[in-house]
Amino acid sequence: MASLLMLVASSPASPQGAAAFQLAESLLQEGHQVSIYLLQDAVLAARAKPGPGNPGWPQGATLYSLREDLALRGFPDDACLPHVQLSDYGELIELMLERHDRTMGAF
Amino acid sequence: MAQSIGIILRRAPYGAIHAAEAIRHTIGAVAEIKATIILMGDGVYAAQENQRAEGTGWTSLSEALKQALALSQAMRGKTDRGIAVYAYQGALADRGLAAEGLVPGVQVIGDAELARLVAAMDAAMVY
Repeated sequence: MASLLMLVASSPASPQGAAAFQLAESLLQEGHQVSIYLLQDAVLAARAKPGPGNPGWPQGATLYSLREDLALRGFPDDACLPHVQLSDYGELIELMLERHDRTMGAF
Repeated sequence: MAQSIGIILRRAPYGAIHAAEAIRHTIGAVAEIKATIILMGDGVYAAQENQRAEGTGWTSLSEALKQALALSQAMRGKTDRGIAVYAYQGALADRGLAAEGLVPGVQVIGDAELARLVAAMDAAMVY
């Protein structure tokens, strides 16, 4: 099965953000290895607990969040949930070009 | 002529232009009339304190809100215009945001106050 990197830029409260997470769930259930990289408004999902305005995390996905976009929105590193890895653009490129078979995005 | 304008912001800052435009229009409007910003949905993120924009090319909207509130403070006593900024409690709670983490001067409101403010607006712009 392929390793897939999904780039998600939409707010977790948006239909687009929710649909992206739902797609990730489906891909995981099919047996694929899925990583989700949060950038732009999607980084808001890295700091909020799941609730009415935030979908739950797809079980089994590896999660990354762009540190710069979190700081831009007023959230320091320690506001990020512990299972989300803070990342930078250099790592994003590496994830896209070297560490996954395919990249999809941005949702 | 309208005496007050309400700006309702529902979109998160930086991912799209809406939040920056909402604040920009509010600052522009207060030259003529009273202006109220109501933050709802993802719009409450615009009031999150300490938005760090250095090196990104963006203008920090938490700083822009502070400037808008400072402008309003300077106008107090001289005119009946000014800017009031409100954040809807339900949206804050849904997103795990605390009032203490918001830009100083932003007031948290519930359903009844929200309804009162919206009903009092002579004109409303929704972003």
